[in-house]
Amino acid sequence: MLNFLVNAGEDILLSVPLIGAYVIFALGIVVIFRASRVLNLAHGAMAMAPAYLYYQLATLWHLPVAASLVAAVVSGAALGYLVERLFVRPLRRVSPTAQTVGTVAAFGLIVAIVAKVYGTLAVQPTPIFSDDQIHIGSANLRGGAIGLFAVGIVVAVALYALFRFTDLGLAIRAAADNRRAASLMGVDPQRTTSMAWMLGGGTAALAGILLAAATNLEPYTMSLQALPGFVTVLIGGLESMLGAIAGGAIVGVVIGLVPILPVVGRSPGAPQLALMVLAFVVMVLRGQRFQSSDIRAEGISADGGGVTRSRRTSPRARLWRTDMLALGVGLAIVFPMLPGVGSNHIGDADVALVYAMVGISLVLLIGLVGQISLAQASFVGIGAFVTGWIFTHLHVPFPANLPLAAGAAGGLAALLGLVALRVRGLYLAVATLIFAWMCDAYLFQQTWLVGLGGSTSFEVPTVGPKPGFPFFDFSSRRTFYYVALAAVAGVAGSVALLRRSKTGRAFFAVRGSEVAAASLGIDVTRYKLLAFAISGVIAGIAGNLFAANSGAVDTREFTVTVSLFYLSIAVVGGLTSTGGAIAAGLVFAALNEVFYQVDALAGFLDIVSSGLLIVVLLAYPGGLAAIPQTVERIIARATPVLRSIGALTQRARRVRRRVPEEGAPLEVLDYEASPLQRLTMLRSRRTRSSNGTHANAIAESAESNTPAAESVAERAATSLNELVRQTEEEHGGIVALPLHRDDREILLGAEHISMRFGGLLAVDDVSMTVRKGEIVGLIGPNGAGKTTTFNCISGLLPPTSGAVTLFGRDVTKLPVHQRAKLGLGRTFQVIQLFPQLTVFDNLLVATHSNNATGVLSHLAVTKKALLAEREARRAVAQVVDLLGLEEVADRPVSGLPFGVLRMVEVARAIVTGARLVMLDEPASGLDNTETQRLADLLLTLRAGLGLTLLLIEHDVKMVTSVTDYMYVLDRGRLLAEGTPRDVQGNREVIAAYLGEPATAGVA
Amino acid sequence: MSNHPTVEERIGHGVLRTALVAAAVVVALSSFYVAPKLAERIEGTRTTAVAADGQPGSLASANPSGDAAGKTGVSKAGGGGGGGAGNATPRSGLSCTGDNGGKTDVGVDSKSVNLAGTEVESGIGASFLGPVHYGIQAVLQKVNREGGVCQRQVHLVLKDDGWDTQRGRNFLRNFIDSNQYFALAVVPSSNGLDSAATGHDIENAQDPVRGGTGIPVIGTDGMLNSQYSNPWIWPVAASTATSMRIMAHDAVVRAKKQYGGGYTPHLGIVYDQTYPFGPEGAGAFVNEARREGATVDQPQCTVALQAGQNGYGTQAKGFNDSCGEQSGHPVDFVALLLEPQTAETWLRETPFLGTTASGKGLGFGGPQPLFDKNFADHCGATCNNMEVWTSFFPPINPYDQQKDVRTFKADLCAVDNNCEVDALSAFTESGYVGMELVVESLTRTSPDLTRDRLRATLDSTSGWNNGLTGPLTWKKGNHLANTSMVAFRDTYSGGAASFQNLFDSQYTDPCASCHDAALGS
Repeated sequence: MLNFLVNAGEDILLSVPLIGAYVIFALGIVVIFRASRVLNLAHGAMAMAPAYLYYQLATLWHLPVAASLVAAVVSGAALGYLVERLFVRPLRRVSPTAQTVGTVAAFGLIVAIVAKVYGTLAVQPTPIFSDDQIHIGSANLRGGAIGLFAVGIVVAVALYALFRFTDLGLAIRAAADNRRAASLMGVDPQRTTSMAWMLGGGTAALAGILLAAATNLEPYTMSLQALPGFVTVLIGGLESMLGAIAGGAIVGVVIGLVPILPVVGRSPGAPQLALMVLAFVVMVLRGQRFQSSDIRAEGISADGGGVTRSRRTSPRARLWRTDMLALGVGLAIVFPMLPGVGSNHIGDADVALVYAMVGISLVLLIGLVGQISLAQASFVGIGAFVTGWIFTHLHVPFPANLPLAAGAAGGLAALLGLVALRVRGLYLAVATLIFAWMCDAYLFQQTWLVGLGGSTSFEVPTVGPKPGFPFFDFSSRRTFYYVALAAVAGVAGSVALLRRSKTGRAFFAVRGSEVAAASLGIDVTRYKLLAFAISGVIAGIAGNLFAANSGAVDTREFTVTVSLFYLSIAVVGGLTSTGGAIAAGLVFAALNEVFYQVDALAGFLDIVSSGLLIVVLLAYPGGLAAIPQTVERIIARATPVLRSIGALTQRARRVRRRVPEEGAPLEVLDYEASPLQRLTMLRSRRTRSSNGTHANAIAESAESNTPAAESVAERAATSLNELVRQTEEEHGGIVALPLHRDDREILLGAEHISMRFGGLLAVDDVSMTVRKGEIVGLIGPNGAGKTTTFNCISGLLPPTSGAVTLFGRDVTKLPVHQRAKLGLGRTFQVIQLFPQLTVFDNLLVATHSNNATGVLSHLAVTKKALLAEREARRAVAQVVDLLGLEEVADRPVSGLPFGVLRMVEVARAIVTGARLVMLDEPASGLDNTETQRLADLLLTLRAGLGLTLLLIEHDVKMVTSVTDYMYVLDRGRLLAEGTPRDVQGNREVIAAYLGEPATAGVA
Repeated sequence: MSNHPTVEERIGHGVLRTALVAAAVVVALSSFYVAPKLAERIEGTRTTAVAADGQPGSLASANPSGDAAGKTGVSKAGGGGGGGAGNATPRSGLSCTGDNGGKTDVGVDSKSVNLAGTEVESGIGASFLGPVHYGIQAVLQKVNREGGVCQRQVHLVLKDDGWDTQRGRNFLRNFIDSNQYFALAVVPSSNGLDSAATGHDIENAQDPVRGGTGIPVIGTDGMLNSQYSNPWIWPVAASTATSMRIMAHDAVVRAKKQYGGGYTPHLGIVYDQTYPFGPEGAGAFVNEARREGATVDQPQCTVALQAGQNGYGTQAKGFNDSCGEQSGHPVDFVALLLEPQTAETWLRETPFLGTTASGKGLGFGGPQPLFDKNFADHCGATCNNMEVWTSFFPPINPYDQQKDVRTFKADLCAVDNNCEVDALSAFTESGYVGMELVVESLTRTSPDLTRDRLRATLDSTSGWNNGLTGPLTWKKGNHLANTSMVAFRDTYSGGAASFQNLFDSQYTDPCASCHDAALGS
């Protein structure tokens, strides 16, 4: 036992110097994050490049060590400034995640340039500390390592003091928390951000130089040395200096203890495996906090720039795409037969197809679902190595081994997706990066998987008897080309089908707002895992093709840096476009070929790849996918005649889509039918009677092209009034509610709900009911617990105690999406529409619960799926028509007036088919006129569609004018309940609102 | 209004759009076609420049007698004693009279014979495989200056694959599939060639001119077993397995000599598991040691390292704990089967190096990747007293005065004006010898240069004495021509490393016919 402890102690001792490096790295990452909310993935590169400068000065030019060290650290600070100025600041308006991808581009560029200048062989910089050794037991420590640890401590103390006791530290913290407020207080946020980046760059440089001097220096290895720093900050917290120091110590100890683990302890990459497990455990445990603090991280482009799934595609653009597709496919088919095209050229095209496949896998994951992966090369590698393993051990040849390879990659991707359930945005990016690092260092070093010596080789097989049919010689580049082409076409087609289906809409919804998606009945967990799995499967297919094409698999083809290369392909392609991904695959394969063929260009490929990524990120966010639109714009600008033809066609198409198709025969109105069914029945009737004149009216209004909230509301009022009138005609008047509340059926019951956040009791023993046909109000001052109560009812928060019943069923344990499926809809205080989708598509997402088809039927384009899609579109068209949203239906929601957005949210809740809709401050942000219109709308929705409504509202006048019953919350407790008249006269309510007893009622 | 674009729209947009799209796609796809052409043009310019330095046509007066006869079967191209750049004297076997046969096979015409290969100019392998380029060029430029082989200039295209198996194999497949190259020459990047050999790309290479299959791969520096069993590959260097068997044998012999015949030597090995040569050589070492009665504790004293890390502290400690002085049963000898960068990093971690404080033990040593002057200088005192082995005669006493060794060194300087290339790198010499075999075999097969005839020539080569190795013999079914090694001791003093010869004679593989399984298989 004593021996064991001594041994473990010595192992930990060996990792002590690393603690110093990790702490410095982590502190730099924290400083930068605190100042700019950006996770700087270029941190390792910012450590490596100054280390090379130190090597140049001290080792090659023999300048004094101290002067060289200072110069290199200063250069690190300058590099930090440049990275922020060139790669991060221009992307601030997009999203933090985009800025993080900007740092990926910086990483690639810095590493590529240094590798080009200094080569990839390790060099030995001049030691800074004594190179003498200290022997402790069987552990040997060098002076440099001990110095590294000591400097780490000094830097930690200095940075802590800087942030804690200086004006600069205070300014950085203030600017990080609220840039606007800080600037009002006289702090220049931009300056503080730059200072923080310089500080981060300087510390990174210091760590890099000390580490290089104590070990050695090689561009790629040194750049990855900062990865444990990310694990450190994930453990310690991204904003905590002390956390970073503690995290560094934990990481160091874990690395020190790994060797004593049985079985895996001393195998290569075991520390990386242990750190990944540690990071994932921490992320899973703390994921919720990450999610709430990363609310703006919505993918690489928050506003949809370059990733908007535009419904406004003009006919010309559609023609472009059709022609592009036809020509592309045609040329791809005849390419191998063109004169002068040899099998080596076809081999290059095979590589292009593999790149395209990987690009498509990223388009699905990032572009559609917003889940960033920096580990795609790992999934390609898993597919490739499993292919090799199956062939070598089970003798199953290509393409029979494709499903297993794809399945293995998909399975592992889904496992990684489990982490994505808890974290998103840039945290997920780091999680995938750490996963890729682990695969690189551990999984792909396992000889049982990758073969001895890090590679597997096998004969590219033939299938079938030769000569004869079927006989396929896959060693023939031409044969393989067609197989790969078919695979890419199949995958691209499948993704295209998916994105136009219910599944694709669910993906977009998850990307836009997980909360809103869940409230629409979308199982966010399932769709996230599905996206990871599908993306992994596609990457696995790419890996299978990769292996089968060359008959060899080598670990060096699937490193972290290759993952970044694949990300470049996807971003350059345009991120949401499969066509863009294919084009980018072609471009990069061509670049690959040119740069390898021409010796003079050797080593510049990585620089150019990173440069392309930067150009697309900063200057042309649409990527290659946007080129046709750009060309179209240019042509349209140059040819007014063509433009006018296009505009006419566009208008005509818009009209066509809005006209509801002839519906089923009119049925007797039935209040038991869901609101959506009622709407269908009523609209069918109206459409028949209007005999198309309505369509013309829409067409005319569309020409005005003014999507004002006013016009939308007016049109909605007209439509709804007509609806109510129809109802009156059918029934001889609106169906009245039972007079006594107790006689009304309870749709929603909250019983003794309490919700505690740590020491804060946000909701305390609240009970309430909402009954059929009612409009119920929930009011209370700020912080009363209204939204928390809403969230407990809708399932976004699990109540600490109490129960929730919905339509007579206990739903306390049910997740959000299942409550939504039962018929509970909601809107949000902060509008949760999907900014990258149009209004029409936003509403289409809400048909999710009413569409019973699954992903396989979408891929197979079954009749059932087609009918369901048609039905969904018809339902949406009816709601669009009803609420007067025709004019804006084809517009992305970003940029629409606030009042219209509120209306769209209401429309979306109706489209779900919900019988009970919860509205969270629907009048928030509306003026008096708009609020009055909203009140009218709610009343007519109830009257016309039979909706039951529960609304939170601050506007007491509005809420008392529309509600049948009210609940009042104050400080988490139920203060009063009753009819609006009762509540208005309640003295306690008056006191809660005014802060003192009042004689008058609540106005 | 119709749901489809009108005819007018089609006409209005169609032509321009179609033209633009077609142009874009054609341009994109044609880059695959253009790139190689561009490269060829650039390569061609460079090769032409080399050839222009020579004296085309001078072979017409070449000595026709040759010394092809005799016991070697293939004449030696080197010779010329200290020739170098100024030595334009045609050598035997290079010329042929009259028509040289023109286009006799793939990649051959009346003026040139086109060869290709992969090399390692980037990545971790470049540290010891990089200088091969100079060895190759030394021969290539000399032969082209002298008019080529049978009036055909020898063109060699080398592509850097970074020692990456997959990339290397793809390059080789592209060479083969392009039907532009007669043979593959030297191919210093062993991983891609190993993969191509394993995947039967070499045997299955189609010959569209003469029919049949197979492309010759001549003069490789070998190392991996797959090259020695392939009927179309003719290595010139000793295999890694041979190197390691010799090292194990030597360690056992010396241990028994030092401690008595009844002593059971205890050996250890640290090997690179990232590349195929590591497990393959480690397997040979362990098996040979055991065959000769030594013990090797697995896995404690057979440490697998991941190449290119910047620290191996915990693994070094583990090795010290299990196989070092403190373990109570230290190993007598430690073999380092590592590439130089990894070896240096490992050695800096102060592992046990096979010698106790009391001086007991045989120390440590490494095979050809560590026989490299640059490495020895860089490693400095850390590598002091390390044994290094090579299967060639390097320009070190007692070999440095031999005529062929001096020629080798002079030829190297001819392609490197500053004469800085590491002549003491085993792989530089390997590239030189490999390219000499290429030239000689082409010469012997000319003028009717076909792949099948070349194969027959090489398979009938017996006792080829190139002066840089012992006599080499290749037979059909047995391409293990070089099975001998010489050893040196790296001595570091005064800021520079030097090598001292350890033994008077070459060591020969004690079990050349053994097929030792790779460690971990």
